[in-house]
Amino acid sequence: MEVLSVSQVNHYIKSLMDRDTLLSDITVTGEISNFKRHSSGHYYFSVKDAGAAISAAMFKWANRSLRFMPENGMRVLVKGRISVYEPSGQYQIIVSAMEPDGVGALYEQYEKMRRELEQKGYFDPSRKKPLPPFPRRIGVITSPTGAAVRDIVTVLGRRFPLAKVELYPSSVQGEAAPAELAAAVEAVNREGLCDVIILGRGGGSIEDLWAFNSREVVRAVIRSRLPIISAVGHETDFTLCDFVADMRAPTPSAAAELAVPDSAGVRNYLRHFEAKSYAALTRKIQLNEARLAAVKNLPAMRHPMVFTENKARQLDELVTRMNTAMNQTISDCDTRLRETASRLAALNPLAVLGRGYAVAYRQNVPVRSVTEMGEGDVISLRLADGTADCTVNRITREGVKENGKCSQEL
Amino acid sequence: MENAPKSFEEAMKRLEEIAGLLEDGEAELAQSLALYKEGAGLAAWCTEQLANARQEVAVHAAQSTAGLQSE
Repeated sequence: MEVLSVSQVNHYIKSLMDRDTLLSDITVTGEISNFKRHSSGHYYFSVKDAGAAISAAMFKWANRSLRFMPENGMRVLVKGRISVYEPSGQYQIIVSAMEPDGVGALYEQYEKMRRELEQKGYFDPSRKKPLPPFPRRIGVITSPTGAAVRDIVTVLGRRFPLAKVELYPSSVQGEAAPAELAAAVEAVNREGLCDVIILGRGGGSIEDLWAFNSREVVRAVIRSRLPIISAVGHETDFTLCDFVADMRAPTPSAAAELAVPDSAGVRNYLRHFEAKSYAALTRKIQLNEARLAAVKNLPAMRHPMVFTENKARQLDELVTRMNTAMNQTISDCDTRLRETASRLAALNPLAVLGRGYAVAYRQNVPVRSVTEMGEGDVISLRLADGTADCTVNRITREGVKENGKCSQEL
Repeated sequence: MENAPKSFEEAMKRLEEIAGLLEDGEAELAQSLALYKEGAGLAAWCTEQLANARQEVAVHAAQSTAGLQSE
C-alpha cells in the first residue's frame, strides 16, 4: 500500500474537486452565519441550512459588486465554485456572486414587466404630463406614520407655503400596499382637489419597495389624469413606478422640491416683473399724454361745433335735394295727368254726341248693328243732353235685300 | 319712426340714397311718396341727434373749462 503525505492527499482531493463540472459552477441557497469582514476587504462566512453548513469566502474583487451588505441570518443565493483550502484540508465555496434569496425571482418578474411597459411606450418622454408651475394643492400618497410625509410637509412649508398638502394615507409595503396605493391614486384623481400627486415612501430594501413595482400601482399611475412625481426613496434602484411616473425624485424631500417653485425665486421674479411693468406703464402713460396734447390741439377739438355745423349743413342740403326732387315728381305727375286727361277728353266717344249723333243701347249694351235687335225691342237712345227710351217698329238693313234671316245664312 | 337708425352716419347714408332715388324720378308716385316720408322722418331724427350733440359738446366744454380752472 502506497503511503501518501498529507499535502499529497489534500492536493489530490483538490484536483478531483477542481475537475468536477458541477462543483466548479454551483448555486447554493442558505442562510448567512459567522459573517466576518476581514481588514483585507475579503468576506468570510458560513452558509447553512437546518442541518448543515459550508464555509464560504468572498474576495474583495467579487464583493465589490454586491448590491447589499450581507448580515447574519440573511437568506441568500450564493454562486461560486467549491474548492479545497489545502493548508487546512477544509473545503469551501469561493463566492463569485450573491443576492438575497427570493429577490432573484422577483427581479426576473420586474425585468419582464419593465421591458413590456417600455415596448408599449409608457416610458416615452412624450407621455409625461407637465407639472403645474404653481400647484395649489398637492396630493401626497404615502404612509401616514413614515418619515416621508414629515419631510414633504417640511420642504413644502419652507419653499412654497401657498400650496396645501392633502394626505392620502396608504400602507407602502406588505400585501395590502399595491391595492391601497392604486386606490389612493384613483381617489386623488376622482376627488379632483389636487393638481399634482407625490407618490412615495422613504428608503428601504428592495423587498420593501416592491409594492411600487406592482402591476396595480403601475396601472393606476399610467391612468392618472393628474401628473405624478414618484418618490420612492432609493438612489440607485428604479421602481417601475419611477419609470411610468411623470417625474422621478430620488427621495420624498426631493419630490417636494420638484413639485413647487421656490417662493424666494418667485418673489425675485415678481419684483423684477414689477419693476419692468412699472417702467413700461410709465412709458405708455407719457406717450399717451403727448398724444392727448396733440389731439387737444386739433381744430376739431378746439372748435367742437364745427363738426355738428358741417353735418347740419349736409343734412339741410339733403333735405333740400329731397324736397326739390319730390316737388319735381309731383309736378311731373301733375303735368302727365293733365296731358293724359286732355288726350282722354279728345277720345271720349260721347263728345261726338254734341255734334248731333246718338248712341243706341239695348239692355245697357251699345248696339252696333240692326241684327242685334228685333222689332218690338225697347232700346235707349243717348243724346248729348239726355236719354230717350224707344220701341223698335221696323228694321231695315242697308245694302242687304233679304231680311235678317238671310243675312245670318251668309 | 318704425325702425330707428343705428347711427347718425347710417341715417345720413340712407337719406343720401333716398334723395338720389327721388332725383332719378324712376320711382312710381306712391313709392316716391313712401321714400319721401321715410326721408322726412330720418331728417327729423338727424336734426334731433345734431341738436343733442351740440348740447353735449356745450356741456362738456363748460365742464372742462371749469375743471381746468379748478386745477
